[in-house]
Amino acid sequence: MKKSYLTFFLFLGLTGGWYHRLSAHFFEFDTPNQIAFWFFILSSAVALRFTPITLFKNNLFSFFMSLWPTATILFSYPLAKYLIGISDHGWIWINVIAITSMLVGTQLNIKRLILPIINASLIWMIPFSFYPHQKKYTENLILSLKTRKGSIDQVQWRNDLWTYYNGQLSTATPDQKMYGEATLYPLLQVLSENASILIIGGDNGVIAKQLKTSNFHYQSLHMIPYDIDFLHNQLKDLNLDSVTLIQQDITTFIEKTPLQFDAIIIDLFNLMESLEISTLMKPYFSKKLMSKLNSCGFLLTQIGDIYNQPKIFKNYHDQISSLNYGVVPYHLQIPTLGQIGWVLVSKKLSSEQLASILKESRKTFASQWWNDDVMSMMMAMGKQEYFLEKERLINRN
Amino acid sequence: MKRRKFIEKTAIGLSAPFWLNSCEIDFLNNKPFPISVSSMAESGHLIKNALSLKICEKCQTETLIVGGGLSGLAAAHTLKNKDYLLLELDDRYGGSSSANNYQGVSLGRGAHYDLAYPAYYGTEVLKMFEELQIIEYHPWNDNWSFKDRQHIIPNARRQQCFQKGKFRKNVMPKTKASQKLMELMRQFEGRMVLPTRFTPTELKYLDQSTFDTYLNEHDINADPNFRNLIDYQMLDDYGGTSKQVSALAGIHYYTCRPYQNQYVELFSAPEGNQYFVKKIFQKIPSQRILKEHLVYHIEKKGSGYLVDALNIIQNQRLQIQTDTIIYAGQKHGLKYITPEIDSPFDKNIYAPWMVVNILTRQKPNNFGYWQNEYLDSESGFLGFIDSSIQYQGNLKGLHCLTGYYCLKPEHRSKLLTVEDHKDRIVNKTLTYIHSMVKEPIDPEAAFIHVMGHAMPIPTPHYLFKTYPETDNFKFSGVDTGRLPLLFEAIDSGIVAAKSL
Repeated sequence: MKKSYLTFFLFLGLTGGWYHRLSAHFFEFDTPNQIAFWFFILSSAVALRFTPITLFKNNLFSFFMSLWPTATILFSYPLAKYLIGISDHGWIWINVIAITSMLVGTQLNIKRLILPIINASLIWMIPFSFYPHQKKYTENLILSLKTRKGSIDQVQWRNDLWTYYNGQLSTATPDQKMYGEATLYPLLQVLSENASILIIGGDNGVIAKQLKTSNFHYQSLHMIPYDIDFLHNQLKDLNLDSVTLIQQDITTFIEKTPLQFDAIIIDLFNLMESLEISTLMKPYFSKKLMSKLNSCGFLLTQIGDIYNQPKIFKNYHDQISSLNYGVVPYHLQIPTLGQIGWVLVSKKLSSEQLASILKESRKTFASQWWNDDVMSMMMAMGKQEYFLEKERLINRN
Repeated sequence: MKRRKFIEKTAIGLSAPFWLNSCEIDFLNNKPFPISVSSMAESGHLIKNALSLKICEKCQTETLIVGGGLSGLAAAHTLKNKDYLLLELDDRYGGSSSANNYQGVSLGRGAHYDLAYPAYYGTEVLKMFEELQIIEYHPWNDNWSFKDRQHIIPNARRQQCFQKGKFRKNVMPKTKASQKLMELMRQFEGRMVLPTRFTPTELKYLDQSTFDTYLNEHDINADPNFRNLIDYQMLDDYGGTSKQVSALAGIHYYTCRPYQNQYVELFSAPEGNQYFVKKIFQKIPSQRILKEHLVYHIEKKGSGYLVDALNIIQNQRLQIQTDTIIYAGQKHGLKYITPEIDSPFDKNIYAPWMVVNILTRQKPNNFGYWQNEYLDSESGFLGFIDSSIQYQGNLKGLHCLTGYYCLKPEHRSKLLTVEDHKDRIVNKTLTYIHSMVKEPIDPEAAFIHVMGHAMPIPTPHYLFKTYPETDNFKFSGVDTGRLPLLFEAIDSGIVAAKSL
C-alpha cells in the first residue's frame, strides 16, 4: 500500500470518531469566536479563488503551504482564544497548529506521513468534551448535565465555578459564601438552638453547606428541593446523613405535611418569572406556611433580584404584614447574582422586636464576611424614592 | 502520488463523516426486531358476513353498552350496580386510550396525556375522577390536578419543537403575530369550558365558521409559515387544520385553561390515557364486561332491542335481549348495525391516526423532552413522545419512543396496507426520530397501532348538534358532537347513563 493511502486511513481512523462528534457543532455561528474559527479555515480557500498570482492559481499545494504560516500568525489570537475557550486542552491545539506550520515549511518528504500522525495522535490525547451548551457561555464549560426537571451547566474561569440551572445563574464560587451567610445568619441570630428547619428549594446546596459551616446545632433538617438531581450534584461531598430529603413536589408537601417547624427557608430562584414557582408566593401558601410553623417560628423567603422586581418585594412584604406577623425585609448586592432581597417573618415577634434583635444580638458563627455592619447595611433600605422611581419606570414600560 | 491528488483524496476522506452523518441510516438492516401491527379494521369488517352464523348463546340485560372506550366505561361506572353488559370489540379496553403490553409493561398507543382541570369545568366528570382518586382540588390554583404526582411532566422538559433542522422550545415562538393571536384569545379565557355542552350561549355562534375564517376576520397574520404553526396545533389536538375545524374549537384550544396566567400541570403516564381506563376498570365488576365481541346487528323488539354480537375469537354468535342501549362505539358502522335508524352521524369526518411504539433497552445518556414536535413532515408524522421523562417506576428499564401520525381522511384506505409496509413505516419513524435525537437507536421491538377513525374533526356546525334520540337508545362518545378530548368522552358516557 502506498504511504499516502496508509497515512490517509491512519488519519481518518484516529480522528474519525472525534471528527464525527465535532461535526454537529461545526456549523454553529453563535459566537464571534466560532465565526473567527471558520474565517480562519476558509480564508485560504477564498484567497485561492481570487489571488492574482498565477503560481498560486495553478498550484494549490504550494499556495496553501505558503498561506498557512501567514494565516497562523494573523489568526493565532482569536483562534487560540476560541480553542482555549472550548476546551481545557486548547494548548494541544495550539501545538498541533505550530507543529504543522513548522513541518509544512520543510522539504522533508516524510512529512506527509509524520504530519497527520503527529496531529492525529495529539488530538486523540485530548479528553474531548464539547458540550452543545458551550455556545451559551464565554467561559469554559466543564460540566453539562440534564436532569428530569432541567439542565445544569457549570463553567470555570481560573479557579472559580459558575453554576447555571436552566440557563440561569444559580450560584458562583466567588461570592457563594456571601450569599450563604446573608441568607442564613440573620435567621440564625433569632433562631433557638435545637430548632427543626425546613428548606424549600436550596437546590444549589449553598444554604445546606452554610448551615454545616455555621456549626449551628439543629434538631432536624428537612430539605424539599425543586430538583433533587441538582441538589445531589451540588452536595456530592457533603454528609447528608443528618438531612431528611423529601422527594415530593413542593406544593403537595406543604399542603399535606403534618410536620411543624421552627424555621422555614424558601430559597428558590426565578420565583416570579416561573408560573410554577410563583404559586408559592400566593397568600394561600403564605398562610399555609405560617400554619406549619411552631408558635415561635420564622419564615425566611428569598425574593430574588429586587432591583429588577421592586414591586414583588414590596407586595410580598405587604402581603405578610397584612397577616399581622412581624416582618423585616433586607437586601444585599451579591456581585454575581444581583440585588437579592429577603423577607424574614416571625410568628411571635413584632416587626420592631425582630428588627431590634437582628441589630443588637450577635451570635458568633464561622464567617468570612458577615458582621454587625453588614447586618445594618442589609436592613437599611436607604431612601425609598430610588426603588419607587424604579417601580414607576417598570410600570411605564 | 502527486501532491494535488493527495490533497484531493484527503479532502474527500475527511468529508466522509459529514456524508455518513447526513445519509439516511437503514436501521432495519443493522439488526432485525419484531414488529407487530394492531388494527380493528378486519374485525370491524366482519359485520358484513356475521349474520349468517347460528345463534350459540342468548342472554338478557337491562342496559347494553356497546364499546369499551373511555365513554363506554364511564357509562358503566355511572350505572354502578344496575344490570348492564358492556361489549368491546378489541382484546383490551380503552379504545383510542388503549395501551400495548410488552413484557408486563403498559405503553400508550393512543391518547397520552391530560392537563389539570379548572374548577369551573363540569362537575360530573370532576366528581367521578375525585371518587376514582385520580384528581384532588388545589385551592391555590383553584383547579383540580392529579393525585399521582410522579406522572406530572416537569415544566422544563415538556416539549421541544423541530423545524427546518433547528430546535426551539414551543411550536409558536414569541413573535408579534403570536402575541396578537394571544391578545385576541384573551377575551375568551375562563369562558371556554369542558364539557362543551356548557359553552355559554353567546359563544355558540363561533361554531358556525372555520377557525381560519375567524383569524382572517380578525386580521391575524396570514403568512403561511405562521398559519402552518396554527395548523400543526389543530392537527395535533383535533386531527384537522384551521381551515377544517370550527372557530370555537380553535379558540377552545388556546383558552380552555388559564395557560397565560397560571402553571397548568400536565399529566402523562407511560401507559398514556390507559391510566384513566385502568382506574375506571377497577370499579367495574368483571362479569359485566365482554371483550372481543363485535356488535353487528341491533333491531327493535317490543319496548326493547334484540342485539346480535359475535365472539370474534370463537366465531360464535351471541344474542342479547336488552331494554336500553348506550351506543359508545364508533358511529361510522351504525348504518350496517342499525339499518332501521337513520344515523345522525353520517356527516362526521374522522381523522385516521397511526401510533408507532419503538422499544429499546438502550437508555439515553441524557434526559430529553417528553413531547418532540416535528413540523416538517409531509407524511403526517407529528412527533414523538420520549418515555425518559415519564415516571420510570413501571418501565422496568425499557425505553419507549412513541411516534404519532395524523393522516388525512382521504388517506384512510392506506392504513389497510400497513401490515405489508410495517418495516418501511418503522424505518421511516426511526429516521424522523433519529433526525431529532442524533443518537443511535437500537430497537428491540416495535408496535404499530392503526386507528382508521381515531378522532372526529370538529368542523363547523359539528358541536352542539341535536339528533333524534329515543328514551332507551342513547349515544355516547366524542363523535356525538363533542371535541375529541378525554373530558368530553367521560362526560358523554356519564350523561348517556344518567339519561336512561
